[in-house]
Amino acid sequence: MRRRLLVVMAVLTAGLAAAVVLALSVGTVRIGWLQTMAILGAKVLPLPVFWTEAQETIVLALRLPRVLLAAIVGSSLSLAGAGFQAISRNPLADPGVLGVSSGAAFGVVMGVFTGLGAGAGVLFLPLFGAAGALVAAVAVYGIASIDGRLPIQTLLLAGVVVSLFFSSAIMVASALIRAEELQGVVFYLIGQLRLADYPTLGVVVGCLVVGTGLIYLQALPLNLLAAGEEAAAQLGAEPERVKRMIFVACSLVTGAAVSVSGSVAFVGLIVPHAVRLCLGPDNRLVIPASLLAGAMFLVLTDTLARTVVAPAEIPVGAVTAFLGAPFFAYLLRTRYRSVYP
Amino acid sequence: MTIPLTLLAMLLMTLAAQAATIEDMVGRRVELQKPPRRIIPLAPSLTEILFALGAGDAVVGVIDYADYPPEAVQRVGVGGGLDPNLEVIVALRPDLVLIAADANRWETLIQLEQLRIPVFGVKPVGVEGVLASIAKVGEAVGRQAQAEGLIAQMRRRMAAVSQKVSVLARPRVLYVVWIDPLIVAGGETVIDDLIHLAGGANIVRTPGFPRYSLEELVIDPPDVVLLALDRGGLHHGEALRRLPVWREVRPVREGAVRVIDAGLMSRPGPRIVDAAELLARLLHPEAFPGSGP
Repeated sequence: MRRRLLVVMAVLTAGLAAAVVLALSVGTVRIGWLQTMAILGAKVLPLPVFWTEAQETIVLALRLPRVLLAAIVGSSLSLAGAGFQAISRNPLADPGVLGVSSGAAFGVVMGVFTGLGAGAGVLFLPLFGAAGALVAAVAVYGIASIDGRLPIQTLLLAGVVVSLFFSSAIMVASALIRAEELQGVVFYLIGQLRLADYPTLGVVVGCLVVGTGLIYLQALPLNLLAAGEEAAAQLGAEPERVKRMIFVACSLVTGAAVSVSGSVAFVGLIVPHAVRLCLGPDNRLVIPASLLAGAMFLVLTDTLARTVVAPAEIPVGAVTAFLGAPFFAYLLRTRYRSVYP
Repeated sequence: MTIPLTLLAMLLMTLAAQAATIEDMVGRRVELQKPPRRIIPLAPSLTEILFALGAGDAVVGVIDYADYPPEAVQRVGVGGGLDPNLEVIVALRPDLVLIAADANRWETLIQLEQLRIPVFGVKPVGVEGVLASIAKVGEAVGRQAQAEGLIAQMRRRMAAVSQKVSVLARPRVLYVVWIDPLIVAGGETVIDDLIHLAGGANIVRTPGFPRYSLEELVIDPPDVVLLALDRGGLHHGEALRRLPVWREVRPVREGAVRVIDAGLMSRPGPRIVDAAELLARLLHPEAFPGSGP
């Protein structure tokens, strides 16, 4: 098991590194990959300068933060998806279905609506997003829990209800917002990776690290949970405590990610599934592998999003769904039986 | 005595020419190496102002919709006003980017600041705001004299328009920006000022560009509907007559719909005087005999 984990992580890390190099060296402005590497390398090694100041700015100040953001958001959404799927034991569960993404998006819209997020939008809107995700999570949990337990059927239904509620709340708010302010909201809602500053990235990474820790510690109980709640309880796990913990951790991670990226569809749903279809259902493997695979997936799709129609951009959410759906269908047709008998 | 004074004056002028700090129209202090030689205006109106001030040669990039003057189209495109391509902007090595509060996003301004590109913000509110922004842009690019000349000329032409129409009855006007959903020009906009200047009365007092209810349109119809369309779609004006509800509205029924070039009307730049003259002809053809709209 440990050996298998090491091999998988090594392969995925190499893949992620290759994806990052590719993403940094393509864009509207042509900069060779050798030059790109040298610009990065010059930060730590004394290299002769054979690039212009403008090229350095493009690689270090424009592409690097965006690629890092894509990696972090991809990791966060995939981790949250893996966690939600594990506790709900339902392949449909992801941050979107459970209402957490809508809650986060509503938080951001409220930031614009109240004007508190305007002006320094890049800095304050993420806080509104994270707050919205937690409010939605608490609401879902409150609606779904019965006598201190969290049955799976009510959890999914509560998620759908809360998701619909916040989606309509966003529509109402958009209708009331002045046309000038609506622009910002529309840009946010279509799911486009914004150019985040490093303090903001730091906050999102912090949430991701905390969330990963919380979720990974529960990997073994989650495996037991997959065998059924009664069986898990007999084997010493505390199903309700595990579910609560995972729920909060996933909401935190999702809220932070959605606040900087808008609603990027499909990542939280398909990445954990793809990982499970390739590696099997062991959560000790699925959780860390989803982190890296999610990062790689969003780095690559965001690279497509900003290059195929350059100098314009496609929202990355459209690319993830457009590419993700057929890929997922292929995996499902060819590998489904071996994993979900 | 005169010689040292002249020397002192020259010294001061040299110092002033090296670096200057100017306050822009969104409350920021911008330090500029004068005069900027590589300028990117992020709104069509700003492109028009720069060319009108004779600084067109310094314009190295423009946004996609900047189609006036024709030379502007030959500059490098840097994407749309709401989502300009920052890579292209950086690659053009601008020493000044002009940004407009009505056409760009605040986020873009912050991003450019983080990239250490000098950004100068312009916020044209009403006709006076347009004149003020021309003066400010003139200051920023070291062409104050040209800006003053242009402003004086614009004031003369606008005074001439308002003198011609001021004694005439003011038709009640609804300025339609978008048909479905119905979005109209309200108060505190350049368009509102231009309608007043051209001898009309805008029936919408809500500030900005609010949505407008069809019920209100039916119950209290304007005398004239001004329909703003892109230059390529000007022939679509007739479509209004076929729309349900709209075809029942008095000015539409009686043919009092006037189609107008949205680009000319909505850009807070030097051509607002052309827009004022055109509007005055549309609203008061009797005051401009023989010229036709």
